[in-house]
Amino acid sequence: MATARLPQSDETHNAGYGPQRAVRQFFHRPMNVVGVVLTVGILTLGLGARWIAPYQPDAANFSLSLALPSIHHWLGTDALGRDVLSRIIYGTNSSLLASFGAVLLAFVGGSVIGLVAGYWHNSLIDEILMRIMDAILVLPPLVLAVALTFVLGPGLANAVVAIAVIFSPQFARVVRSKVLTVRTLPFVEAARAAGSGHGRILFRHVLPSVVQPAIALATLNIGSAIIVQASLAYLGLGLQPPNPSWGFMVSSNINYLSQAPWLIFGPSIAIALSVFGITLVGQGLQGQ
Amino acid sequence: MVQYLVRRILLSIPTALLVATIVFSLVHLVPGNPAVVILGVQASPQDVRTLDQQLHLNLPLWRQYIDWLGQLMQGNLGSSMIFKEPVTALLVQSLPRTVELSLVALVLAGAIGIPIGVLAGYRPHSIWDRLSLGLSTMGVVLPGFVIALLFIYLFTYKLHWLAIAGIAHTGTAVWVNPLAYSVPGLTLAIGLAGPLMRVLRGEVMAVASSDYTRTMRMMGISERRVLWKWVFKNALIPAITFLGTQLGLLMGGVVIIENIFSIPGMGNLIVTGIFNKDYPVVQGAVLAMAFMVIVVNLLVDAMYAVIDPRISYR
Amino acid sequence: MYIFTKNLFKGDELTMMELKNKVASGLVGLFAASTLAACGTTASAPGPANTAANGPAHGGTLTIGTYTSYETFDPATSHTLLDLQIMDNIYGNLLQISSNGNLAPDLATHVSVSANGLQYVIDVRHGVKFQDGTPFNAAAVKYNWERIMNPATASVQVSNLGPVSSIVVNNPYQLTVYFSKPFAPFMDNLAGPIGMIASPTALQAEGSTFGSHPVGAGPFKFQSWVPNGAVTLVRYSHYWKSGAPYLNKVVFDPILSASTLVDALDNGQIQIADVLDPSQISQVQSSAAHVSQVPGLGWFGMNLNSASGPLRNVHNRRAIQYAVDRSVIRNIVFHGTGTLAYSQFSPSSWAYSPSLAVPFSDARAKAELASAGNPGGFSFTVQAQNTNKYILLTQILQSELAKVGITMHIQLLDLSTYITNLNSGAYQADFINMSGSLDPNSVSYIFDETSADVVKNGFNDPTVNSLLNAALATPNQAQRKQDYQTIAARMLKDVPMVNLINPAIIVGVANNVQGFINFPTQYFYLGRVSLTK
Repeated sequence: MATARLPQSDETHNAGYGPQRAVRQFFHRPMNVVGVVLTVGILTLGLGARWIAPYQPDAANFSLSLALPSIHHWLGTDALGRDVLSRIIYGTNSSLLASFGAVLLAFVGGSVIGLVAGYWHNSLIDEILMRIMDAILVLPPLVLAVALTFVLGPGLANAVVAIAVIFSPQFARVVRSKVLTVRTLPFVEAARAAGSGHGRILFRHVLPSVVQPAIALATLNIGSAIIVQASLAYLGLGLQPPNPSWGFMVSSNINYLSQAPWLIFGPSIAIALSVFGITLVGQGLQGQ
Repeated sequence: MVQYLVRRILLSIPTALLVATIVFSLVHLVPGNPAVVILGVQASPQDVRTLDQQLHLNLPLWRQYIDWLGQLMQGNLGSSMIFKEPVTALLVQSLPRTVELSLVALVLAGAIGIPIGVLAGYRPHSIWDRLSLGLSTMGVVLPGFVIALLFIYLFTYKLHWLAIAGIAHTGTAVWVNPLAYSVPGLTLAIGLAGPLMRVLRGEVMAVASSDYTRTMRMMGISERRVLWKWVFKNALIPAITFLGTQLGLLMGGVVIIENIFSIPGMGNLIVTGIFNKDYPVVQGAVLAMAFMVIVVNLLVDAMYAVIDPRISYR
Repeated sequence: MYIFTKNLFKGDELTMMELKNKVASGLVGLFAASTLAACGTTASAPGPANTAANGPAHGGTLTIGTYTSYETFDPATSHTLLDLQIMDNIYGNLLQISSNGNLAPDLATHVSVSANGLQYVIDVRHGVKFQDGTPFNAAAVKYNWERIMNPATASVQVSNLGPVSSIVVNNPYQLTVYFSKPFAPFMDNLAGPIGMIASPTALQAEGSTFGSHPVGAGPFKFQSWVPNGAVTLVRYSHYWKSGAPYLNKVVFDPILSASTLVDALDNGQIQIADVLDPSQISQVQSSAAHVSQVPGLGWFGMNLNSASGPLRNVHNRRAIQYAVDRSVIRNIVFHGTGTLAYSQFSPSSWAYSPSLAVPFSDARAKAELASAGNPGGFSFTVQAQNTNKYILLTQILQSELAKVGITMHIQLLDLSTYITNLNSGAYQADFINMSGSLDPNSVSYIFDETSADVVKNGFNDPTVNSLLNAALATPNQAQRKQDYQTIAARMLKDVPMVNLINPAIIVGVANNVQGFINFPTQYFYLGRVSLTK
């Protein structure tokens, strides 16, 4: 899966020295501030859904089916008379949970594969692992995710695993290439000479220096993961009603596109804003 | 050079084999039995067993795998269990739609992305730059299905411009009904045009600030000439190779876009195949897609090798 | 708009015995999704009301937008309704239903039944040729049916053919079918899938790929098919009915999005929308098209498995029955179309009894829960297909049942797992959508535990079993009606399933289409349809 990368209006950026300076520099860029504000806002909405949302997400009111946006229901109601705004707010959780979870899983899984493959560079295990990663990269990501989610069955957790699988090769590649440069550095050689075991060398010495690019990649991938999860949900995969999810809200209301477009575009805007915000933060962190 | 290409081709063979294995195991892990789908609700268990035998679904999985792989080596992808047609025949009918849709998307992406990207790079911070920023942001933050629905809403319900209903009935090929491909193509193009613009912008900025360009300007060559004859030309090649690398992404996007617009292409073939447990179809179609990605990756690498002599061919 | 009246199948159009006692067997269908199973009868025959003053105009292409795509056009192995709609036009039928609902001759000119119901003599039309030029005759019919009976074919039509013991060709245009026991549905089924006869020559030549290269003797010839895409039929110029068909070309085009389908109808890209999603009725523009609504013959309900768990207790099942507000489902899921169902018989069926109903009452539901010994309610899991309609429906039911304390968990499944579970009883509750044919047996036979065993839901009422069998064997319609109504009343009390809606058949038809009849059986024969210029 390609990493979401936002275009930037300007490319100049100086790396900072101390952490304080880095933070100051980070917030010096207005787009980073926008990203942080959006991300914090979305996280707040998700975590605080039960206090913020005006209604319960599954509180149906059959007499208010497909109501127009109004004072009481800012984004109208769906076919079951449920408040669309509340469902969007609650839907934040499944979207964020899925994307953070999937990226975390891909991060851990991909990094371990990359570490092992890089450390035993040119060995059989390296060859096997990296060929598998190549094969995954060759398959169209969404096709693979659809097939995997179908195999694993309905439910958000299964979608998370599927998304993690399609994201992990990137982490494996980044970590592996970093390991290849680190493993020959003097301090690793020194540890090896001192008789440290493979495990100790890998996790004590190699891991810390390769983890940073992986983290940067992870923050950038969260936005893409939101989009993949929404796309799967759109195809009716990896969801569990009545739990709301943005992609699923779009697909289940698709018949009302001409009659009640807010049912479609409300959750769409939520997707766009969260991808935008989180990706800005990721890029800011990467120091671009 | 030739050695390099041969090496790359040889390297992609194990990848292809692995892809085949992954696809096979994935598809066979899908829960459920195709015989049940074929026969429907009213079939007796005896009917299902009979059909299982006819489809060789009663054989152990490793046997099915060996048989399938053996057939694959001979270029035989088997027959669809649902459609009862050879998979190759289904691919021959579906592949053109997907390729045409992808080409329309690439052309539209180029038509949108190249001029805006070049102008944005040539005149940073201009209106073109901002337009490219806005469009590419849209392509990144909006999923394909949202862009598609947005276009449908806009063009069909608001502007009453285009009849978007399906490619299927109108004889299907792009030259028969180019209009039917326009909206789905545009949807895919938005996702492609964004990164294309940004790549071009960067390249153009680099070329425009080069000594050579400055020299040309000093020699009194017109701005227009400098821009299109020199800057543009030099920025174009990286942009085109970039588009080549986006094929995998395009193929993924096709799955959803074909679904929304009811286009009978590879994406629909795969998705309905998965839902129907039509093993041979999914295996064949995914393999075909992967094969295309491998080939295009090879071509892009070869192009890089030709264009940029700094790449070593070892 | 054409509406079936209750005097259907009086059987005076053909001079044959026992015609008014026909029984059709149906198949269990599934709601929406790709596998709508169909049943029994074919709607066809030219209707005088629909021909223009100067006779129908010839020529033109009719495009039909459909909600799902096609699988195969082999009458022995296909079972989806859409496939049958197309096959009806490729093969024609031995018998057909005329516009007034009677059985009429088509490729069979005469059918007679022996007094003991064990022998059917069928005369077939002279001078008919299959689209490959080979003759249509009694031997072809025999060949087709023996192919269905061959276990290697794994044909889904075996049950529609019934207990046939042998088929004898008396002369090129007459055959006799011998049964091992009486099978009343046979006559009606001649207007269904088993009445579609394929060219034996083509069957032998094509082998397993015949389904995508069908050859019949119907009004239209198969031309091309794109997987997941359009099916194109062209006029068969040597069709036996002179003059017909009127259209040059018929295209069945899957347009899977309900809103796009309407858009295509409004734009004139398609002339028939089959079927319209109820949510889209309001979107049809009267300047371009109109909506044809017919009460269907099928039923749709929640099937409760009483074999184990809390649903073993009849009071718990009744509590669900009372707690469900059918009108909400009708209004929201079906957008006000169809009728509230309290039995499997729709108002279009002669077995329908208007007095059969239960009130929507949370108080009664709670009383039943108390009688069951769980006044606070219970919980169970319903299995449903992973489609928008089921997702909407289950969420409504979930919130309705929650009001009386019943917790309903929703498990979404893919089609194959869903059917497997339904057939094996691995569910607590799920949904059944049957598309019925004219005879009440078509929607009832699945409840006879002594024969059909496709729905394992723990329901096994000996009285119902014997009444169902009696109704199949007796020729007396009044008696049969009484039997079916007794069955329906017993089932409403015992609640093996909660019937929800008898859905309507909703088709969008462009204003320039002439001669189209929207039948409750959902078949459509286009041999009589024309386009005004």
